[in-house]
Amino acid sequence: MKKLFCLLLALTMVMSLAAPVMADDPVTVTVWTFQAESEEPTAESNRFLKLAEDWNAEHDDIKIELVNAKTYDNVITAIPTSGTPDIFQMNWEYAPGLAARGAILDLTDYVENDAEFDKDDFLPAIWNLCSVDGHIYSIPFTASTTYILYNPKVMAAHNWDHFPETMEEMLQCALDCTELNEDGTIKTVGLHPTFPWHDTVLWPVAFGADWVDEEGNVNFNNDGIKEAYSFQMQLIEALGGYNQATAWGTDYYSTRCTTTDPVLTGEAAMRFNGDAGLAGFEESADQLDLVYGEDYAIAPLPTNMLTGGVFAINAKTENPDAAWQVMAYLNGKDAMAYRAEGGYGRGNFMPRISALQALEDMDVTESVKTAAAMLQSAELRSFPMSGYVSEYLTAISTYMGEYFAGNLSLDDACAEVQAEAEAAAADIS
Amino acid sequence: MKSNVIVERAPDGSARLSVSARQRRFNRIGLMFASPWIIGFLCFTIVPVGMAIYYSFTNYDLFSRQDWVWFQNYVDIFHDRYIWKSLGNTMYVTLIGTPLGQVVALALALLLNQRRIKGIPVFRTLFYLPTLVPIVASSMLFMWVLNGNHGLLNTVLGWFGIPGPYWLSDPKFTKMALIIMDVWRCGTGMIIYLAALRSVPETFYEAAELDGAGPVRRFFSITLPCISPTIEFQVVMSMISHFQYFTQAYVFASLTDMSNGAGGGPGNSMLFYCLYLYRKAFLQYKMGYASAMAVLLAIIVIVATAIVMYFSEKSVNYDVE
Repeated sequence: MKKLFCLLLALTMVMSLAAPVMADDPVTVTVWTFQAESEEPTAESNRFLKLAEDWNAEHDDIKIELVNAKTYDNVITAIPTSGTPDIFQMNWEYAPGLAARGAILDLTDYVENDAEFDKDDFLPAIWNLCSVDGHIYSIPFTASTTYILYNPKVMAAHNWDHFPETMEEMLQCALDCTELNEDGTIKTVGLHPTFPWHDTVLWPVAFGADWVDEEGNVNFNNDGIKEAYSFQMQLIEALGGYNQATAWGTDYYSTRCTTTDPVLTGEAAMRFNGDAGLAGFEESADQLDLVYGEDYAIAPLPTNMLTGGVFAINAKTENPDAAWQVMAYLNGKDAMAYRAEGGYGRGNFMPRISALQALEDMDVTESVKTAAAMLQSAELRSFPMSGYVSEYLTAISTYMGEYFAGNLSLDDACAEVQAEAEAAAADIS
Repeated sequence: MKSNVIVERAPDGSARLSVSARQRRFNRIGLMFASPWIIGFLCFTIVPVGMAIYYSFTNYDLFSRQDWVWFQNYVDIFHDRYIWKSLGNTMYVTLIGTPLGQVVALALALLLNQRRIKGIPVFRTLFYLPTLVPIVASSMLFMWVLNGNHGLLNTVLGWFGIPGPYWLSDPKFTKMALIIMDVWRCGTGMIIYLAALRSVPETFYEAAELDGAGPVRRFFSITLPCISPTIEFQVVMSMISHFQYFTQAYVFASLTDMSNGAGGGPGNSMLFYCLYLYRKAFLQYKMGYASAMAVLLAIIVIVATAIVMYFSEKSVNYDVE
């Protein structure tokens, strides 16, 4: 009798513990974003939280637990052993490496078969950033191109009455506009090739260079790439050399798109900037009562590049279908049209065509509308995606940085990148 | 007093020592109280160290691979030019930053050890304050202080007709820029030295003064020998922290190099060993390789510490008090 009682008691306890699982409890999908937390309600982080709140209010079966301010380090230490987070944000260049290692879900079937998601509403070129060998591993949630911000008055003072139309003209214009003081310090920057950052993709794209050959093999050691880096080196030398050019870049880094932006103050003739800064740049120009077309202007590069942020689904997620539903919702037409309003209503560039078109009806600056239109029409290129893209980009930035610093010749630097990227390709294969 | 050790005689006449039941009970209680620490030490120190050693012999990539590759990672390390570059950068800050930091910390402690000056506690607090500033915030502050064109340091140097270098962009000066910032943050070392100085018996100084010893002689003949164990401790700890140099370099390099993830700063002059290890582990997913780097670093630190201990054996005096 005593044994039977103990058995019944144990059974009751097990049943009571299992009860919540057996009931129709909602599935929780955890989403991690890298967006900085902010008190501004229109900030991207709060827009994501609002989207999650709206979803949770309407759905009883699946709940979204959205956490902002995460980092890639957080993600990379969580997903090897855990299904949390189910969905996470990252930079475009990290997805192929994770895909090659089976860390993120292949989303091709979901994307192709979800009619409501409407893959064709996205910029066609953006899928290049999300695919490896024809398989889609990530979903873009932003799209970005790069622009040249320039000061027509500075250019006119150096006998340039029009914006350069080719890269050869741009180099000449930049060299003409670069002026040093008598003591060798920088007076005017024509075009700083690594300000505000050393961009490993921008200039090769502008020169039409390729990183891989027709078979998809690493091909960094080629004339197009060398032309793009020679262009940058000539500009650095015109600025008085690497140390002085880098120091200028560090000095002015925090002035970008403010009222002390070197293009607005006339200290630089041209500089590049991501399209996300256009609204801030124009607002600063307005504060200074500068006139578009006379005091400042914005132009696209002859050939432009496309980058963006992406979301991926953890391969260890316990609820892949629910995770996809949440992914499709957060990157759906309505959600992207809402996020396109951007922080402080300045506009935000989305990879969905419908969201970019929605920008046209919003109260945003003209250049933002122009950029949105250009994203839809321009021929945009991106870095070729492969499982070793992160290693490839790191090698480029490492060895070409050595070239800029004068530690390696151009040929040697290119050969080093080629060798390291080939080794990474062999390793991943 | 009753002994806890009992001598037992075996039938063949041999003696055997055993512990009393009371002592065994005490031992059990002691172990029980220490068990949280022991479990924590096993789980969070011994096991991870063991795992790192194990992974260093594999091609572990965090996700899909974990094949045994014997010593391949170690062989690859010796052929990796950036290992040597990063090790060289790390040795530079260790060999210059460690003695410089200790000298400044000790000098400040000596200044603040004056009993006759009013308001000493205020000065102590002021000198300790930089230590409380988060390292990322300090780095951002020094990005401004060390700015080549408009920075505070170069402005002050300019008053004396000294042209300041580009601290943050000239590869020859970037590491020195980091060392300058670290010296500014030497408050912790200063406090430890201050405590050591306070423990030097006043009678030693009185006797030396009676014998006609001046301040310099008193410092070298009394102060230094008396605080030598503290100096040894500080040097070893500072050396280890310099070998693990990461956060300052990460912030400085990110803002001066402007390249993607864990850049090494201008001309890779701020590519330190742990920064390179981080890049290999978390950006290139080469956790096996990074583990081998970590094991190698542990060996380097052990050897360096042993060298310091060996040379300090004759000069460190533990006989005070």
